[in-house]
Amino acid sequence: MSPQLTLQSPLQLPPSEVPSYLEQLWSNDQPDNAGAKTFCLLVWQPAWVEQQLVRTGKITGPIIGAQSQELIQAARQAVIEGDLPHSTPPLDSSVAAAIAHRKGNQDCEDLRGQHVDAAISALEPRRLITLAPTLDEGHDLETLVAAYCPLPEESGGTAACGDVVVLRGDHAALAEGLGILQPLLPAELPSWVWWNGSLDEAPELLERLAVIPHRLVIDTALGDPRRCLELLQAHVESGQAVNDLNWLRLRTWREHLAMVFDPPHRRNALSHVVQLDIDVEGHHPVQGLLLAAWIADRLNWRLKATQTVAGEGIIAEFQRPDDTAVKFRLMPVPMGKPSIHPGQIVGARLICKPDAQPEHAVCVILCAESGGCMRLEAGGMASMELLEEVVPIQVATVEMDVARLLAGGHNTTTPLLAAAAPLAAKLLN
Amino acid sequence: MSTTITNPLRVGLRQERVIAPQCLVIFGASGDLTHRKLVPALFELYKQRRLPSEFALLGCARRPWSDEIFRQKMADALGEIINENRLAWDQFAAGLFYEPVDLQKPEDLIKLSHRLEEIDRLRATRSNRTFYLSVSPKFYGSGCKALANAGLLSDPKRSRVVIEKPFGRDYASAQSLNQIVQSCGQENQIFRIDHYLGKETVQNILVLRFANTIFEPIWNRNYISSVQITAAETVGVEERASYYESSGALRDMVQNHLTQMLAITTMEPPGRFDPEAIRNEKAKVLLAARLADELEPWNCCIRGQYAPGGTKEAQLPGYRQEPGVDPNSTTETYVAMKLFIDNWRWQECPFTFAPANDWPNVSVKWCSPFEKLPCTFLMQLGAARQRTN
Repeated sequence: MSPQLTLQSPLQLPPSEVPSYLEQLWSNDQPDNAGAKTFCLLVWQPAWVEQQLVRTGKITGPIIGAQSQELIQAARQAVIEGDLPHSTPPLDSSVAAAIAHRKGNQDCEDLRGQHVDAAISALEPRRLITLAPTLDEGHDLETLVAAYCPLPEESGGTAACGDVVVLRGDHAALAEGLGILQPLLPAELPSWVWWNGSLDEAPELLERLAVIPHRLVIDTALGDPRRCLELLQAHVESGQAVNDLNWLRLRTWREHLAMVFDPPHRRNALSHVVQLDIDVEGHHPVQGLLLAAWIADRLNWRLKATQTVAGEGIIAEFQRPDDTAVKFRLMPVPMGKPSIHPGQIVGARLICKPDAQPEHAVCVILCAESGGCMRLEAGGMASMELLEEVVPIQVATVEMDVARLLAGGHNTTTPLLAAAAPLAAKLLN
Repeated sequence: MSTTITNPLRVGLRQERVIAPQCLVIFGASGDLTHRKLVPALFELYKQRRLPSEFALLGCARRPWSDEIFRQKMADALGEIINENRLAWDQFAAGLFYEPVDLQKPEDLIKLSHRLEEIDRLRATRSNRTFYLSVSPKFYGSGCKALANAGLLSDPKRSRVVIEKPFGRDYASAQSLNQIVQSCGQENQIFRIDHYLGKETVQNILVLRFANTIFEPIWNRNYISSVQITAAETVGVEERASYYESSGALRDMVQNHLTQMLAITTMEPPGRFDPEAIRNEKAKVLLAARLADELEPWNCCIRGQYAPGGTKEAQLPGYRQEPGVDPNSTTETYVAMKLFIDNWRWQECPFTFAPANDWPNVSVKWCSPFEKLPCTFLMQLGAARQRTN
């Protein structure tokens, strides 16, 4: 599906006039004009790497904020040209920082907020508000408004109309503009706040936007791991509905691991796990820690000790309900062509050894389609029953993942994530 | 070693797949089905987090109930279940509404339309509506027409109508009802459902056949000598006498459950895994099916009734002795029939149907004996070993 653009050129209005303009647009005395009764989505859309690549002429504009193939390819090239480690994820903040030192002043159209990914526009959001921070400091606040109605479809159907609002400017200008947002989010519709950037940046803005009852969408693969987990834990504990895209990307790993133990004769092995190893891409451990925390929570393990060893990952010990120790190791693995999502899991190994029947030992190895299982296959498993599964690479874009959340969800955090988040945070301490 | 009954890693994974926000509208909501089956099932889904937060249930019937009365009736019916989950029930019940509606009165439909708009605003259900006709089958046609005339089925993306079995009483009435229903909306809006077909075991037959290279090459007349599809229930008609008297085993089981089992068992692989492709393959194989002796069907079909039985200590009544059953009833509680499918895969392979009430075991059995081996030396070897032992 191709991205949808607003049909109408956006109207630039003074910030203070935006709420009244929209109120008039959807006023009740024009019943045929009623907007979609769906949801509102507020997006923090910095697109730093894209802005830098456009500025330096490495890609042509317009800036749209989507993770296009052209953008990813240019960003990978920038990793090489910037002498960054080859395992640096292409959209990492270090890539943007490396390009920032280069000269260039290419200008191009900024369509952030006016571009709506097809997966999201198909859900007909009532209001899409985009906060688009600019590279240049001192950029005053610009507010743009456009209304849209999808074209009537061949199969019929009622066109549900919505609008887009774009706030563009530097950090200070955006912070100043936040005041107009509250009246723009109707209380009767569910609202999502999607922080589509590093959790390290603009913390004060994030805290002002991510307030209950808004449902928060974050990606704990972006930002300092400790900060990511602390923020996740804090918002879950506050009772907010938190959706973590990094957790969503774990679903195939969790599904495959559960599948291994679906046959009734294997379930007992879960009571006899003695070792858990997880390999992750690069040095961002959050996804691996969330997987470990989920397993530990489901199997009622208690964390006894944890230690971060420079360059060697995280080593921890859990205690099973029968007091037996479970060794855990999270290992960073350098990758030549890393995923765009930092810290993706590339392999997981679970060793189950019943004390009374060592001949029934089982070694479960899950490995990513991209990597293979060789590293985890080493280490004396010859005497065990070996169960290997290949976990397919996920091809869903971040917009598709967000669209899945918007298509139907809950106003509370999933209990599995709520239980895993604090344990993952403890593992990192 | 101790035994782990459930897979702890599986628990909760389904919670992450929920349906789209919507309002489920149940017509006939004052009836038994709503409080005995539908609302308890929906509440269970809610507790398992398999319903979205933006979900509403609008009960409709002729009784002049209010939202509060409807909620109270449902709460009374769930009893103990609610006491154990009070908070969850309070949250779920906030999405329960009631509107007195007579589907035959156009003014009621206009009122319903306004109520749905209001619920959309209150619960953010995005104008997605599913109309479930939990009414007498004789109102299916007029009910669909009333919804269509009120414009409630005009959006094919957002509105659906669900009709439970029985879909007509015979071929002619089913065709007539189908014409009415199809005139009210697009095919993808109409769900003719039968709860039995949603069962995982039935759906798994497709996986067994088409995701499995062991079985598919031998799934044909060359290797399978016959197929028996049996549905046995341990209970008799019990409290369903009035229903059963008007339907019988043929209508209750054969034309729906067993025919679907036949179709799933014998269809060719669909080109795509989508409802239309699967339906087309089912239709093709059913068109090729025929009774073993169409000219003299009594040679290949048997109808029967269960008679009194049991033991001296625990005697069981026969069908004609069941409460509410006509003592001279000729309604069948047992049917058996033999069919053939005239296509390349199944030519000359007999298929037998046999649904029955009051049988020793509950089962839907589907049995395909494979052709006999051409040579039996291994069996002789087994017999020799037994003699040695």
